[in-house]
Amino acid sequence: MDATQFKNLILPLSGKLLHFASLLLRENNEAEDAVQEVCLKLWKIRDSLEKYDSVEAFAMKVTKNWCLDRLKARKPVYVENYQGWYDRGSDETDPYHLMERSDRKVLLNRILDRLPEQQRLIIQLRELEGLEFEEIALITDMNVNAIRVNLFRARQRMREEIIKYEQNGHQSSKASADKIL
Amino acid sequence: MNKMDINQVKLLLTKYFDGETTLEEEKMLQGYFSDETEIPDELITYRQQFMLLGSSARTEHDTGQLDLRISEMIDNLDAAAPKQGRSKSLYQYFAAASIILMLGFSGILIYQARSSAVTDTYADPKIAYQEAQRALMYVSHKMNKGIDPLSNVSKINTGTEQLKALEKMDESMGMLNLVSIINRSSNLKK
Repeated sequence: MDATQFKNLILPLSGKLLHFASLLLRENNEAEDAVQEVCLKLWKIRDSLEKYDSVEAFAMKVTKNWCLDRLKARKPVYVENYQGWYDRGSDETDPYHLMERSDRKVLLNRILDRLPEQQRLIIQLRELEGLEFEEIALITDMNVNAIRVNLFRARQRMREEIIKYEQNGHQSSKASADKIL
Repeated sequence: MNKMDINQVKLLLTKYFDGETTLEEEKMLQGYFSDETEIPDELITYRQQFMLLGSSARTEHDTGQLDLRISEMIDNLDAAAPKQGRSKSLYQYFAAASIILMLGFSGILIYQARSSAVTDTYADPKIAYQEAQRALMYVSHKMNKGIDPLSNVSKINTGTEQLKALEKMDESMGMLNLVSIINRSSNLKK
């Protein structure tokens, strides 16, 4: 496979990989680095890419592994990123809407952090990436049934967390939650 | 999107929390909660969930800069690669050449073996037999002649037999060991 063929195959996936990496890493520059690293890995094995049924799913899997490794190596300090780069691409230019959107992202991340790693990953792939169960199975090496179970547990858990957040939250956070939601 | 009635929404929500909805149905729910302005109180907490998820859902964004970076990286790697590619092909040429040479040599050998071995020298088998016998006799005669001088080798054997006397010397040397013991004990005395 030559450079042109490789670029034609991989570059159309960059947006998807970038979004996924930024969900996992929650850091824009690092997410871009991740996608570049993943492309480098794929380039090195470019001649065996053809044997995969879905290069896209394989690329997502490599991205997932790279990001999870990175997260494990990272210090447990976690910086919340209010103004994600992916707001740049959205149509909302009104600062108020941008703010509202990023606040929701922060709250979502807080809730996702309370989920077990596997459930969090499944939510990210299904709800935020919008993938079919078969695609998620290729990326995570889980079977469709296990994915389904993780998904409905994660959804219920999310709901419980949201209700808890509403009821038990301090007055201030409740007020801000009211503002956000 | 067509407006869903409340029962339809509730049904989809039940399916959603059982992990049974399709992507299409999930989109319908997402659409309902983000578009609908009058949502019944009982569904308000569900709305929050979908709004939160919707905030991070994938949207099309500009990856021009990143694509350029990746593209450059690939071009650089590709430009650096030919050196390796050529040495690889040289290696392949070498392998191909050696295979051809081997095939050529074995071809020549087979050809020679075939052309030389099968020609008959005598038409009559009786004469051929006699000739063969004569040739073998000649060979054995010459061989006997060659072996004769080797009988002298047996003389070496008789020579070594005399060396057996040395064993006796060895024995008496063993006796001398006793002397060293005496020597040691006299040292202890000191």
